[in-house]
Amino acid sequence: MSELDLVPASWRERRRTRRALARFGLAYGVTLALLASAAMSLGLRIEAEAAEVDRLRDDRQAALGERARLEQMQQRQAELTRTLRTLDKLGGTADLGRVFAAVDRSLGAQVWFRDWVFMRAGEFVDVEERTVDTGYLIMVPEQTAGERKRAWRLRTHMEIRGQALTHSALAEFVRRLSAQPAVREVTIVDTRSQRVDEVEVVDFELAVVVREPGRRA
Amino acid sequence: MLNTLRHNPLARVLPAVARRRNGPIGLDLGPEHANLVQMAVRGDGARIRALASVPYPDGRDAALASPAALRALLRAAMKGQPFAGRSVVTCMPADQVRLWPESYRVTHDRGEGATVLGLALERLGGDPTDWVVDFIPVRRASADAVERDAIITAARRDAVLAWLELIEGAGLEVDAVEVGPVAIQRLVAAVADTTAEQNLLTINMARGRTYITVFAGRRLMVERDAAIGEQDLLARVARDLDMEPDAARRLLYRHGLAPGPEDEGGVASTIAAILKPALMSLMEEVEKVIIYTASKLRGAAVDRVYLLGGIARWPGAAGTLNRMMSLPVDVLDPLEAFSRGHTGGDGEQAGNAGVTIATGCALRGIVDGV
Repeated sequence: MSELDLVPASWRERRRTRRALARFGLAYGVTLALLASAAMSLGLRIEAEAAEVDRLRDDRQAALGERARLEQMQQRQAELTRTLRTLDKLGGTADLGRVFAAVDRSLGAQVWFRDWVFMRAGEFVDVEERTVDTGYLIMVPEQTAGERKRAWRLRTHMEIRGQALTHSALAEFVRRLSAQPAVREVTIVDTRSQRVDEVEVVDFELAVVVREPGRRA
Repeated sequence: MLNTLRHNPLARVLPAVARRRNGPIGLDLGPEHANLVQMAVRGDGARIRALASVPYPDGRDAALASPAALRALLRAAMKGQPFAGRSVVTCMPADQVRLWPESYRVTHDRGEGATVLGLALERLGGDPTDWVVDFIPVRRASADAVERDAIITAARRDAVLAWLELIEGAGLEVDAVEVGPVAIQRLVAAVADTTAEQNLLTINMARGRTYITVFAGRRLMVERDAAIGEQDLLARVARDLDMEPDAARRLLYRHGLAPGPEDEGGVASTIAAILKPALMSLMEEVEKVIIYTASKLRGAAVDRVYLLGGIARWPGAAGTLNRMMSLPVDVLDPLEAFSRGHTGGDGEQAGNAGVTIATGCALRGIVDGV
């Protein structure tokens, strides 16, 4: 059976409604507070992130500028390197001290020179016809399409005319000179015997091709 | 009957959960004390979990003048006691409630509730919306009896609403508002060692009045109040022995009414002699109730009498009344019945009728069928 109760049903209903409203209000307030807190937190975060984005954007612009500068400098470096290499090559063939030292080391007491010609000559050659070992090639720019590739070759050589007491002394001189690193090739152009003041000597004429610096023997 | 594990199927599956349950806080704002009791249901029955009975520091009217004042009082009362939750079952003050038996006939065209409500409003008069009415059917001879009886309870709606707002404003949640006899009925059903068919009569002596209630088959049947309270009786003792009322109370609580081997100087006999006329007057009121009961129960007599409130603390009161009424009389002490595990009560509180009512309120939902 139900128990005696003097609480009016309408009052219970009103209390239930009041509590529901209070709970709803509390939940609404808490939700609002949470949303406001989240919005504030998000706003602060966005502000911080925006500053970071601005900083990164500036950094990117700076990096792009640096990169452009780097590319320009690299391009300049490449150009300078090419120029330097060209100049090095051009200057390298005239290393006369090296050539004189090689001749001096090879020359003995029974051989002497009467005429010594040092020459540096250039010529256009077909690229296909030359290998890198035949001489120093400079590629000639601005060739038109369809023309054969041609290069300017520098070749340094010496012509030596002298006398030796004996053929064996001449042969020894040629062997020694050929063995020098600065010398690429020694060719005996001509030899003949003749008497000078009752002494028989050997006249000779040599062609010496000088090796360009940095090239292998 | 206590609603314990025997009736709870949960106990077999979830014993840890089922064995622990706190009832509502029973609240009685009596004439001199605010009384709060809370029961805890364990596997082996109900026990008092928390109990407080505090006097109003500046009188009852001042304490109940506003929810804030009552809140302060209740907070002080509950402090130090392990009250759990805020749900309360309370009783309307007796002077704001009307309670009377009513006989009625059940007809097919009108429900029982509507019939009783019609009779109640007819008796109350005025605008029906001014009243809050509820009723308790009285045990009838057979289930299909057309003639029936009910105890009708009514209170003015504005008084009930004011009471509810006062309690809720004090920070508590009102589960139910009932009346003192219903709370006592529940207490009797939980504690009294009787069968369900017996008719019981309780004499609950408060400070200013004594409430005589009959329960037929553990259902409230009738209640009358007599204008004889413990305060009047103590005043008589104090006057005749020329002492202060407090000294008279201590004397009465120590020696009571029954002369025995420890009755030094015949104090108990003297007190019994002083109080005999008042007790005789009280017994006349009891006799009227017993006669009314017999008339309503077709000659059935009251089987047992229980004493509650102040009179329950008088040594020898049960024996004295037993001799006067020729009926078995026992003391119903809620603190003794439910005190296991509780350490907050004391003997003074047992004599407080408000604690009895608060205990009955606290048993709501714990005692079956009441």
